[in-house]
Amino acid sequence: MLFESTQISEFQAVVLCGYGNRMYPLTEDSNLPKGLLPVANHPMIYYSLQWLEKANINDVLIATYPDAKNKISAYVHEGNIHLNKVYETSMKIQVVEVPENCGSAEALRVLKPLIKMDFIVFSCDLITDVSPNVLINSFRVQNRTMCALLYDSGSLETGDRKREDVEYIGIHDKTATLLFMESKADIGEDDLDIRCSLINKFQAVHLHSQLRDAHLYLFKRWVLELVAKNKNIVSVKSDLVPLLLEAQHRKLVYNREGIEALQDENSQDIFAKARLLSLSGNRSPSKVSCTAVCHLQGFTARANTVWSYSEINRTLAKNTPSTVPQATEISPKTQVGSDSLIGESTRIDERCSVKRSVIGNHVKIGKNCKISNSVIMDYVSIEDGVKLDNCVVCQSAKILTKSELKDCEVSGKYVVDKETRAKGEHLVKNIDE
Amino acid sequence: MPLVEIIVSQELRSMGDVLRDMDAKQILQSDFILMSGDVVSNVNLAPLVEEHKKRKLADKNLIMTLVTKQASANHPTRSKAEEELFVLDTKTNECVHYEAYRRYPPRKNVSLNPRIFKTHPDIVIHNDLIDCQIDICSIEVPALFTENFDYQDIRKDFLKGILESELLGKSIYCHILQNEYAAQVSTLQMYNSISKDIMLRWVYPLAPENIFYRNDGVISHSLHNIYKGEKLTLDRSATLTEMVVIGSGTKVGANTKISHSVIGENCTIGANAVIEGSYIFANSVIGDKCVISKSIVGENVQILEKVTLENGCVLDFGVCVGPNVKLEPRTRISAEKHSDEYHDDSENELEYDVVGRGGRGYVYNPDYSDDEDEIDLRNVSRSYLDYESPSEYTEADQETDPETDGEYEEEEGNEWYVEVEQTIQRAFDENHSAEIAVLELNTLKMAMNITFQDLRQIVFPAILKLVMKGGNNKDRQKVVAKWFPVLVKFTHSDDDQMHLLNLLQQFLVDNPALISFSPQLIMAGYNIDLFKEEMILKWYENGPPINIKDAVLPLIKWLNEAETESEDESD
Repeated sequence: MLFESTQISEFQAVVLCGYGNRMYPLTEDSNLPKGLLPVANHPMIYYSLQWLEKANINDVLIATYPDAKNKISAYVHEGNIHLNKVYETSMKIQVVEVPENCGSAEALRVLKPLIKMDFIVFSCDLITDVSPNVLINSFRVQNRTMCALLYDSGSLETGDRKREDVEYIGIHDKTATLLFMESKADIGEDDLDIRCSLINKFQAVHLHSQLRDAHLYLFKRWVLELVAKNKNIVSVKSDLVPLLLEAQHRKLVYNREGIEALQDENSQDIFAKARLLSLSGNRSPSKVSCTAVCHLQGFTARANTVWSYSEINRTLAKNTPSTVPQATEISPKTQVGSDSLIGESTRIDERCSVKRSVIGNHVKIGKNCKISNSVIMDYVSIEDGVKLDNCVVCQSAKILTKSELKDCEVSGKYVVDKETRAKGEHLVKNIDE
Repeated sequence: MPLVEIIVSQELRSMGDVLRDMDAKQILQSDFILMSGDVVSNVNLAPLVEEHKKRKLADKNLIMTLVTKQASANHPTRSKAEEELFVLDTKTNECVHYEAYRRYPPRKNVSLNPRIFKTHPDIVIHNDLIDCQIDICSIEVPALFTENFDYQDIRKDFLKGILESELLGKSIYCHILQNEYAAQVSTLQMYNSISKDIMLRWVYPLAPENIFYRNDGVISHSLHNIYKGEKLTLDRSATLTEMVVIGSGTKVGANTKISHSVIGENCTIGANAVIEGSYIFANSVIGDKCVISKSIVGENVQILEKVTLENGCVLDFGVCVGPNVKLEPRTRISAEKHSDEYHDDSENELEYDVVGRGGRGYVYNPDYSDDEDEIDLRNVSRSYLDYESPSEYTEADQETDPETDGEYEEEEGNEWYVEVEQTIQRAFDENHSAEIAVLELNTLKMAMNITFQDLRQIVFPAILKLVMKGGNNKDRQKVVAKWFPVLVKFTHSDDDQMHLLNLLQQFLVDNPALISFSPQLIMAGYNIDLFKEEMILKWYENGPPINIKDAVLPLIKWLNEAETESEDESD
């Protein structure tokens, strides 16, 4: 055929599946890579891919570390007996291996030959219901270099007292320009310094301390050239984004990085000339221009700590309409709260109570068990009289009779001895065993 | 008319003194409005006072509402010499931080205490507000001044003090005016722009025809914002272009052109004169063929024939100038000699070359050097009448980019350079030991975030310069022996050594006098392991200029021999 009906796509997407250091021990090799950890009985990456599908993107690159590569490509490509799930899609998905412990920008450097157009960087631990169009439009309008997603951390994550990663985010409201992002961890107890040149230029700087960066970015393609050229850029969040934000208003940085040349070489903007002649003023004031979308209503969260991971599970469980899963047997004398979610082929025996919990597929639960505020992954077996409160139990773990666990994480394939009493512990398999 | 009571007190030198005096005399009985006498405004205060009262119900600690006006960066009624930042809570407009600083020297950063975010998570840094100097105060304010007897200025001391104090726990809010007008005549430049705003009717109902003059002449408003008083004598050929106010009883001669100016009552302006952008007060006489531009002429001033006042001149009341003189831009003439304790009274003569043969008056030169605060003349220049901000577009481009930004960057770049140089110089001058010098330089390196390479770049040439100063080789050797060890601490790798050798070469090229001493320099470095022999040989091979090569040749030969010898030994 002369005219093939292929969809012309504007963006490629990069999904970053890191190791998840803060998720220990959930991401131990005996369990699952971070991207596949179940959130409301779907692997995390399912949400990323769903969002990208909604954004009409049909070319996705998943960057992950060597150990996780096979498991993730099994999920997105062929399906696997063990997982028994496969992500069905018409999108073209490539799983690319990047060196272990490499920074997010270093991963982009590896992926550079595969990225041909403007691109979206998506962190696999992000779960959001923001409409992709909102982001894409604010990126397109005024020819922005970068668009970031910000969300209000107030609702979901403030309960976690350990979280200290407050961010100070400056926005010029009138032009919706993102001016700076500084995390409290970087400045410590010092004063927050703001450049006078910035204040002089933008006049009114709106400073937020309750917004968080969702680590979802849209970038112009030339940004990749910048990453390739400047080897000091290791991480997207802490090197690349601040650099772009500075290049917006500091000529010195702009010139030092040679951005003008990069932009010209990579200019795919067929309207560039037309824009120059336009009277509408729809031209960005400086050549680098960053914007941000604040997503305040709706759900956005990052499952990057054990705490936020289980909290997101609970929240989604509550909001997902409960359907009766296939081949699941729940004894009529057992109480399952409507705020809980039960997976397929799972059996729960009599006189149990399940509250505010997510229970995976192929799970066996004995008699007289009490499970609250917990996440139970696939193939876990729980014997009679077990009490679990605020626990995460990883794949194929066994919990023997009458154990009582509170605030614990049980790693994959671990066997909890009978009548164990534990509080706030990581139950991790010994390497010798 | 409201009751106006005038209170006279002696020895009050600041707003702080005034309010303490008020407190001592118990004059104020209720909440009050504090306003600077030089504010021009058409604000209706009643709704603001209502708002203040409402706010006070919500926040018991409220002691003050400041009235501010929204204005862009290039707004004409903004002071060009000072910047004011108000940091406000987005929702309530509570002021959480205040900062005022001069435009020059440029400031790099504004620091916010993270404590602010605990109570105010969402704030806006406003650089787009003009402080109107109208404050709605609660009765506690004078008492707070008495309590904190060192507060002088109501902004720089009081406002800042209240906001930074955790003990006082008082709060201050801002009201942001959108459409009304309020501005303070603080500099000549402000005087100029506010006068023009009045002529352009931005301050309506405060327009010239509504403002009562002393003699109550009626002023009529006509096309192109020309305001004429009564009983004018305008020659048929005189032209008033636009934005002109002419007071009653004034006479204007033939062919005279007036634009963008205010002329007081009963003035006499001769023929063929040009007046533009100037302010001429009542009862002044201006001769024929005068040119007066962007200047202020006081009351009862006589300007004789053919006088030219260039941009920014100011003439005191009762001064006389001319004929046939031209005043330099920004000349100020005072009626009385500016008393100056250090100068002899014999100099108290009229300066006829400036004010002209028929003149009467003294040149006034404000002496900024004695001032306690260091004054940057660039700020002063921005406060003159003739300071015109470039048109809006160019300012947006030029000022924010090359001027301000460029300057910040330069300063940033040079600071460490100067600092390092001074440190090493101090070490030489005060004859510190090498260890102390190293310690100081290392501290500086941390503080300035610079590299060893940067240190070497400055320190090595400085040492070489000192070596140059030594008269004979013995003195020079002493200097080398004392200061070369400093360099050892900053030199770690082979590349570092090469860097030093290249610096040395550069220095020798610039100062050929030292070439004869260069073998001793390299030898000294070699002896304390500052230069390894292979690095010296490599450097030599890389080809320094021929005259240096010749000078160091014996040394190189010796090194080569030493090398072969040691090789022989090891064999």
